[in-house]
Amino acid sequence: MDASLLWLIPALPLFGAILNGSLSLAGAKDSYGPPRGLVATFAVLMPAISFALAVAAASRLGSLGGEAMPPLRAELFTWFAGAGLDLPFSLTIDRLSSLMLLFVTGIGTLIHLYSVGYMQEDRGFARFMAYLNLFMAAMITLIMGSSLPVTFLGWEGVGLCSYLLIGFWHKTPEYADAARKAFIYNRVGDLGFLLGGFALFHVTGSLDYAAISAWFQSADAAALADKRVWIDAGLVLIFLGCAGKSAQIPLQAWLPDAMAGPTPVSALIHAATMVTAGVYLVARLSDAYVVSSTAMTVVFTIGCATAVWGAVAGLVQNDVKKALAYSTVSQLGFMFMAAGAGAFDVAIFHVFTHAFFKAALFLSAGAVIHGLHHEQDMRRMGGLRKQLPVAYLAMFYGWWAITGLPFAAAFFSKDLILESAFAGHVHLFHANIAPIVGGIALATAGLTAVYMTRVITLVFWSPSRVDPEVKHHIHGTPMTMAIPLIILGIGSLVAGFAWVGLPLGWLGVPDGGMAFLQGWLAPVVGAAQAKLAAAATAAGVVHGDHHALAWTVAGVGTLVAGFGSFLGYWLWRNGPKEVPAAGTSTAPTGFGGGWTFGFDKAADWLVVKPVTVVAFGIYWVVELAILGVAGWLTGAGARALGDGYAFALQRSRLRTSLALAMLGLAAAIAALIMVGS
Amino acid sequence: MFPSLDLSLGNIYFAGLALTALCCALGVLVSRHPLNAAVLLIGAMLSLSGIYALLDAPFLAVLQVMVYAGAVMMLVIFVIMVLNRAREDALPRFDAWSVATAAAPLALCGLLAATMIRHPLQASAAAVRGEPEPIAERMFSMTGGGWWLLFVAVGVTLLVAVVGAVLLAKRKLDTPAEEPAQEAHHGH
Amino acid sequence: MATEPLMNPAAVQTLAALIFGIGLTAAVARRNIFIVLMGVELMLNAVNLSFVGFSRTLGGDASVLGQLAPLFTIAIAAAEACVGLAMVILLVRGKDTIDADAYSAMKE
Repeated sequence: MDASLLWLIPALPLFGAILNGSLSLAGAKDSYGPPRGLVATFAVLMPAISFALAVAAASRLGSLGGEAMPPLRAELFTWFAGAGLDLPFSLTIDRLSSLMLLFVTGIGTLIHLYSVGYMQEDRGFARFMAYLNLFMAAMITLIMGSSLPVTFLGWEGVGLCSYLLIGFWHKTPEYADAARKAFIYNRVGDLGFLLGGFALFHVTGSLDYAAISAWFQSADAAALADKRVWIDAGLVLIFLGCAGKSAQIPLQAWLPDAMAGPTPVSALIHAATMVTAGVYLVARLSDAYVVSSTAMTVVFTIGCATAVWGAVAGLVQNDVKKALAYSTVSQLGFMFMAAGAGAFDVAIFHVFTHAFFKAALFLSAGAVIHGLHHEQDMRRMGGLRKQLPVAYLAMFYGWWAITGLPFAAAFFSKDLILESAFAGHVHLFHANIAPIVGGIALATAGLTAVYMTRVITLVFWSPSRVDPEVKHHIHGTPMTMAIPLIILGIGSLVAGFAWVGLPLGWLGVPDGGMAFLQGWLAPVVGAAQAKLAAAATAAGVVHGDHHALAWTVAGVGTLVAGFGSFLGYWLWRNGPKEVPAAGTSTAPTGFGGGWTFGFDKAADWLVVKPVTVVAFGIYWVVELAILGVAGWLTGAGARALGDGYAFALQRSRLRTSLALAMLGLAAAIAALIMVGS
Repeated sequence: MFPSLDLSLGNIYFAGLALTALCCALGVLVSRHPLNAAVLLIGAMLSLSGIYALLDAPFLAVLQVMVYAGAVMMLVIFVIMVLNRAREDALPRFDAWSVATAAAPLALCGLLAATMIRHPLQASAAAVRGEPEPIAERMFSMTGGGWWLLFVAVGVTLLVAVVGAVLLAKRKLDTPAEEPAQEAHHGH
Repeated sequence: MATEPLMNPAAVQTLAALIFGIGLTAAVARRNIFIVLMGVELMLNAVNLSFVGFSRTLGGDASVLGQLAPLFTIAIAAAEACVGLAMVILLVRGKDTIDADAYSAMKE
């Protein structure tokens, strides 16, 4: 894998998008659409080749071992130049982006394959595949960009694809509304991204990640103090962008509504890849974040608050996809919590494991929905183990992974997050809030076990509440859907070992022993974390016994997860209290509704209503005062003139107009001469 | 503005040519029949060509005769004769509107006069004589400031104009195929 | 090459202004469409004369440029005459008159 081939990784899915888009347009008049086989082959093949290239790049990065291996970097062309800013369009694969790239292209390819089965009967199959491929291209650009603007290009691209895919079934008005909601929330975040980028440029004089990191690594205390306000504001603003993309408070409300999109979209974009872009960006700028305790506190507290809010909201949902969506919001909160505590590698590790188990959960939920003819209400499911064995198996593995029971994915990643929270030093008003927040996070982890067990109990373990006639016509899971389910299910079981690294060590990968992933990410985020640890030591913080803390958290975490799982099963083992009729709204009511939609209501009162009032005010002023009065005056004047001389002038001969034009020219020249001398 | 009258040979030629040009131009303005006007216009253009030659611009003088007095005016006369609209001599030469519109040329000329009075012109001894060589060198200079791209653009414009003229003047855009054949037959 | 300055440049510009004025008058005051077109040609010629006259008052490169611009004017004028006359043919076919005032389909 040579650096000169890097451009192929984003270009191939883009090519697939163009090809499938053309096929979709070409087949628009055909009642069946373009040939499914052709579209599916291209759509799956392009990300698959990208995945192979990503594997090659990662192996190149890993083969030399150690921290000396320079990132692969390719400058494709000069994007814009001048005014003290020369920005090449360059792509980089370093340790961090190669990891992201591996699971984005890998899981992305699997979800493309799954979509072939899931969307088979949809009229817009080729369009769907084109959007998915376009998303892959944009996401890869986001990850591989070596500077903020290139990342921003991909950032906007994934936002666009998210909008297009949420509103894929745009004939349903609510779905189109959900798409617009997602887009507008993301625009708010994007503004933060842009302003934060400007601030960082003001501070460091560069937009390139390497240069930004270098500036922050080498800046002395005086330089930092000089730019303190700019640094804090810029990083908080960039986090606002991350909050928009990764659905953190206060910009989280779009993600649950985004479940209007087809389920593969929910799995790929709104669980596994796009929504983790914010965490990726924070990790990418880790050298900057560690110098700003303000920004770290913001990231940490907002992550914790979102984790709690998402977990409680997940507990009261009736729609299976909504429950998983709130779970995603909560898990993203966990990731930001880790980043805010300074454990960027742990955050990325959770991104990695979460991609597997959340994709598995969503895809198995999709298989259930597909099997039950688009029934999404968990109160009308139950006892589906026999009918949908593959979906059950995948959801079981996903459930195992997310609850944090040993020894699946989140057992490692979530325990590491809790550990980093307990061991962290995050100050709010000069008090270290990290241990308190760690306690809240531990309780939230228990809550996670409760709501996930509730989901799997209601869908599979409780007695069946499926309509008898639906029950006899349950769709099986086709092979294209089953293969990704199985791979992702197994992946969510073993992904956690990437940190421990045992299997890789056995396979003889260098550095494949303990803390493999930590070592892998060290060249990117290690300096920042070391700086943070050094600062803590310098401040006189006494480090407790690290191993004792690790074992304590692991033990207590497992106990809490086990208790939560038991509670979840016990409470819902007989299914819900009442089974609603088909077509009933799945929105939670009562306390659940108040909790779930609280932020929507707040946004409505704080933003939408004031803006509406202002808009109507402007409308009345413009429409009545300006357009009305001025328009009436103009009209009256024109009428008064038009009935008289102006009317004759207006309808006069061509040559009169020409003569008048010449007179006007003469007047203009005369004016110029007078002004000029 | 006008210093002592210099009655050298060049100035006498110039005065004669200028007078001819002015008279021809006025004739164009007042002539009843367009054919008369066209012949007078050719006269004006030939006089101007002579003035160019006097003004050290021989290349332009030749082009003026070839392109303007030759090609363009030939085209005008040809079209006048083809359309044969002599019977519309009955059109009034000037009417009330014409008097009103005369304000525009007056204003523009007045402006020019005012400018010339404010900024007296002085002939330069360093002016280059307009032989074809310096003009061509200047136009096709490859080292910088060349006008060859504009030259190509003008060529394309001429081509487009020809095609457009043919399209416009065709009898009808969607004439059936047999009609031109019939016309050709009648032509013989 | 350049000998002593010959004509007074002001006289050349005056002649150009007069021809331009006459051409403009012909273009806006006459109703015969052919005369209108010829008036436009006169105006273009006057501008060329002005260019050449000014090129005599400037030295070196600027004087070459003053003789170069009329070349383009002449070429564009040829194109203009070509299209203009074709339009006249089209208009006369449609309206059966050469009265410029009759071509006023746009005014209402």
